[in-house]
Amino acid sequence: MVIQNYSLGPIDLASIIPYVAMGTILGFILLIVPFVIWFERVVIALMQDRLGPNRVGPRGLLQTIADGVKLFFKEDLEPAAVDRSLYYMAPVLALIPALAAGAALPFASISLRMADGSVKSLPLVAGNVNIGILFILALSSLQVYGIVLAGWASNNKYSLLGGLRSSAQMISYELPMSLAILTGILMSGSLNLVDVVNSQAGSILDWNFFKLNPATGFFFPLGLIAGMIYLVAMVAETNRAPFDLPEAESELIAGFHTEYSSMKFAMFFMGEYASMLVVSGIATALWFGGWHAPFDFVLWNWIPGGIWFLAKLTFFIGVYVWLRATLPRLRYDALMNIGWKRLLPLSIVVLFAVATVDAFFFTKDTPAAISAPATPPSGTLTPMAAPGGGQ
Amino acid sequence: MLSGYLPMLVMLVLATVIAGSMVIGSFFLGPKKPSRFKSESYECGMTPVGSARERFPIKFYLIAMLFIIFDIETIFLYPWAVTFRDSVKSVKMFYLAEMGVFVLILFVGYFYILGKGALDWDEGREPEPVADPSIFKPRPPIRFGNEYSGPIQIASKSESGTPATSAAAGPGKRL
Repeated sequence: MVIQNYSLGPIDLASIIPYVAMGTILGFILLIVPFVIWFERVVIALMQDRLGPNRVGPRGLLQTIADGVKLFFKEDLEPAAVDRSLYYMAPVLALIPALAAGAALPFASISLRMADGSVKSLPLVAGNVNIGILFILALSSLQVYGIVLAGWASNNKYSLLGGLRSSAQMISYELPMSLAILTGILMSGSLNLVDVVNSQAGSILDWNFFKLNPATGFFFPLGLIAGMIYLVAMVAETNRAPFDLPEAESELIAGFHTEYSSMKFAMFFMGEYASMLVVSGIATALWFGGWHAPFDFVLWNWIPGGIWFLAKLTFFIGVYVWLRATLPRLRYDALMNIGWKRLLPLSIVVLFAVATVDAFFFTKDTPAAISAPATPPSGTLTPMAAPGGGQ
Repeated sequence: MLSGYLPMLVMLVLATVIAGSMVIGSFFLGPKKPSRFKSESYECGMTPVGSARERFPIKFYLIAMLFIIFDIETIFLYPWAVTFRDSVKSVKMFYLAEMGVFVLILFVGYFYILGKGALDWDEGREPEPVADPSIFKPRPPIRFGNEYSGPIQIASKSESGTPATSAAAGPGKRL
């Protein structure tokens, strides 16, 4: 499907695409979060053999929206002991990075017919910048501030413990996470997620997660290991079960948001689900081929890339829910041991294994061979930029 | 080139506006009926004891310091990873050796903190006190004359054969 590049004076369609993508991402996150919560509740109810939400709307679909409206009109409690300014700032600080981190996440590509008749493929991404993944990492690091400030400002013992635990957990798992991302970057050769996705065009075996080694012909499951490290760290980073120590309701009431009521509580909740969506989106773009179809198959290539992206995103949300319904919560020292003593050395070793394999088997001796773009599959459009080209 | 960042900035501003308006909205929309008990800190319904501005384990500071060290290492690896991909073979070998030395030095530090037990969350724990076995002895049943006030015995069990304790006078004679 090729869209004509309409222009209105100096503004044409190509120049407003980043803003369209920005609106789509923000709107998508804000609108889809209630349904993700509904999905989680329904799936967990199925797994636990009970009914789940079924009162408001068809199949309880509007339950979360009703909850949100109710929370908006609830009393905004403010305990006497809190540190007032930080107490109000914390939910804002927790929600902003979760919403804004999607800015560097490409989720589809559309093709425009330019004025001179040529067809140009443009990614739907708010910020098509060459430091995309660094931006996302920076914002996801900022998220810890909201949580630690909420724990501190509440002046409640449970909140304090929850906030401390959460911040220690998030920074601990950020190391294996960023090293696993680095492995993906090394495999694709760019910090721009658009280039990363384009370098995975083709079949499922071109995805970083399943990448075959063309030089030796046998399977190097290095991308698989790094991808698994990322998936584990992603669950820990978003404070979800089985790593939901900060909100361990059996010991810490509600952790860092014990003292929060009304919409401020809902903002922490929303921030958690929004960051789930964003890290799942990164996993999709970095390891699972972004908007590319799993096989180079004519019918599948007709399905728009955004649908593929959404399908993969849904898969990861399903994994999150499945994990929560299946696994019991870890003990805190076990959690820290996994992060620091297992995942961190393993991710460094995998990074160097990938670099070594790359240096010995993948490299041509001439630099010209490296910047050649990957051959696009027959049904898809030409990638926008040569992967690994310009930095 | 910098114009690519403009939508990201707009998105950041929009996210701030959305988050801020939520806090402000709920502040003004909800009713305000504060009371003394509502504004207490929540401690499971008990009267709060003391303040939460307490000491907490130094481990959390330690983890934060170690995080900074290793995070800087990761940041150093990012430009390395990007330029690594675009190099020819001989340069790649040099990069590999160079970063190998860098990571080796860091791993020396890593094994040092591992040996020092900085990452062991259990090491600060006091050894369990040897319990005085007498406190675990079962309390002798209190007797009021002929009656038995220990744990309630199932009637059918004592009927079926030997009574569990000789103190139980009979199945029907409990309080």
